[in-house]
Amino acid sequence: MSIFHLILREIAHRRLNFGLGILAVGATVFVALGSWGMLAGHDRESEQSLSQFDQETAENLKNLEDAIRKSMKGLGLNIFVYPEGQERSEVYAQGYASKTMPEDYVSKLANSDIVTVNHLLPSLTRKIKWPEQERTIVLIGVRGEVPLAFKDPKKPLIDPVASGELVMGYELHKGLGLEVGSRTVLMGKEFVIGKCHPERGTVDDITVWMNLKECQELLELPGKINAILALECNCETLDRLAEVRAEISAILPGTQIIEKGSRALARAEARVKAKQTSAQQRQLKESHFTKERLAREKVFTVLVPSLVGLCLVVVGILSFVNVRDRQAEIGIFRAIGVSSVKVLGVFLGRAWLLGFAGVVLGMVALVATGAKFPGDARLLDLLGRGELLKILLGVPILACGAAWLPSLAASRKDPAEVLRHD
Amino acid sequence: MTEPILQCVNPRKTFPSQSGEVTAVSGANLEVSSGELVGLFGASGCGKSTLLLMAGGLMVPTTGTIQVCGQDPYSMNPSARANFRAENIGFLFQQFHLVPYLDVLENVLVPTLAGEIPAARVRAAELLGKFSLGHRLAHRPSQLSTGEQQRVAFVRAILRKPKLLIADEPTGNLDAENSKAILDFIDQYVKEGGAAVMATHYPAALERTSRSIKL
Repeated sequence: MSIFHLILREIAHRRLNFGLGILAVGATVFVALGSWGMLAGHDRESEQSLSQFDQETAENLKNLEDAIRKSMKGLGLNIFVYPEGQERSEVYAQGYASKTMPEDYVSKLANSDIVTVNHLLPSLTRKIKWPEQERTIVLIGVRGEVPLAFKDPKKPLIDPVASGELVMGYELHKGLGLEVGSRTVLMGKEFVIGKCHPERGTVDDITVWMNLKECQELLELPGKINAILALECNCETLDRLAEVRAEISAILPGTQIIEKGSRALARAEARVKAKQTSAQQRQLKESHFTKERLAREKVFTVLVPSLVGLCLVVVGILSFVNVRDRQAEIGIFRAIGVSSVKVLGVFLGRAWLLGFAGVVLGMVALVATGAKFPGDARLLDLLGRGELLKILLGVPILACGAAWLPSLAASRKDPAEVLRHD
Repeated sequence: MTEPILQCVNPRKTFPSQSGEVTAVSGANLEVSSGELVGLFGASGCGKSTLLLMAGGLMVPTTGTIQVCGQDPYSMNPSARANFRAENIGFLFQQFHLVPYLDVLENVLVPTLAGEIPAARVRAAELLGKFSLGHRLAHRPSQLSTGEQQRVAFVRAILRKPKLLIADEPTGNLDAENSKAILDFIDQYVKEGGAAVMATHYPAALERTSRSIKL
């Protein structure tokens, strides 16, 4: 007769004790595995959801770019009017025209019956050394929008800079510690800071805007400008730039007309903004998932160890009761020569079977109840073969651990003591 | 003269108690040879069971020596002593000590847990048939009469053909008819060359012994 056969016979005889043990282990496995499944399912769902979000965002951005490109077609284009004889290459290289033209040009345009232009902004731009601060800056004198005489007055796109005030780019006000209301001296003249721009990452960050008239005085170019920005030019034909050029050239012969990179910039800005919004939404989503996971984890980290501890105690007590009920049996086994190691094997083998049956019961119950975890996952989808093996082997080992002390006591039982008091 | 199977020389056993040491057995010299059934008798608490446990290699004597088949079991380590008991000694108790969840045949085969016995199942079935238990092989102890239970315990004790049989009040729970049957079996075992020592306080049982020792 083998020890395994003996164990099976004993289990069949003391079904209640063994059944209670299986129930305790099974219930613990059910809850522990269920909790693990909730967390694993949640992780999987979060991953899937974020991945789907990323895909949708990429798709949306692509669609958005298309939509912007299409809508830009319907919008007006922005152009610069530069002085006669101005080298375009110079403009492209340094960002402004070195030659000047009379400020009257803008009045000529404004008072003409031009139909392709909606807004006119004259300016005088120079790159100079700020003598008081020893910094290179781009100085722009602006006078705000010049109203078109033959059109209904529109809300100005850009406000003029008031006399005696400066508008500062980011690098300048940050580097010089200037803020709105601060006073500073530029080329011997004192100004008040009227506005400070946020960082733009362009040449605007080292630019100072001031009133056009004051700028002309400081640069000793009275009545001169070097560019007119014409915004929202509307055209009838597809070749819009040529149409605008033709109309302006008729009024201001010889001037250079260049399209401002407004559409690309607007597209880029819209794209960046959309990306920023998506990133914020993704962050919110991630933070929501993390919070939810932490809340669940908090419950499970208390519940599961408590339940496992309780289960081990129950298995230990049931093993102790089993050993106590089998005193005479242990005594006779030892008397007829069964070694203490074999007696230990009888009790630990029983505990191992109890653990194994318990873990199988818990898993089968979890599968049979059709429990679905977050992300619509089932237990067997979440459990890998490795994890399954670890659980199937680990739980019986834990059960043996719980039954260890009673089993050891049984194996060390002195048969003479048992038989003498019988 | 043949070598005695069991030899107890001045065995003494004391147990600690709150009022000092209690002597359970003192100086009960005992020799049992092959073909002998020696009876031990005396009042309850005189140390019969303690002497049998010492003789059976289950309880270390405080002083004195015990030899079974020419060897001192207490000079062996616990594992070797367990093997020695399994090979040489059979036990028969008043309470039978059958395993309640095993059937008759399985109970008789319990000694195979200690070590292999050639053709154990065949021999067990033969012996059970011989002792009129052939029809009870698949029955549990709770389904047997006390006489039948003691017969099962006896078959278990002699399955491995031990040289020494230790019987502690083997008829204590039996009626006259079953007592006679068990004593007949023990007689037969002795006649076949075994050595037995039996503690009893029944005169009828003592009459069947080769000799008796009063404790």
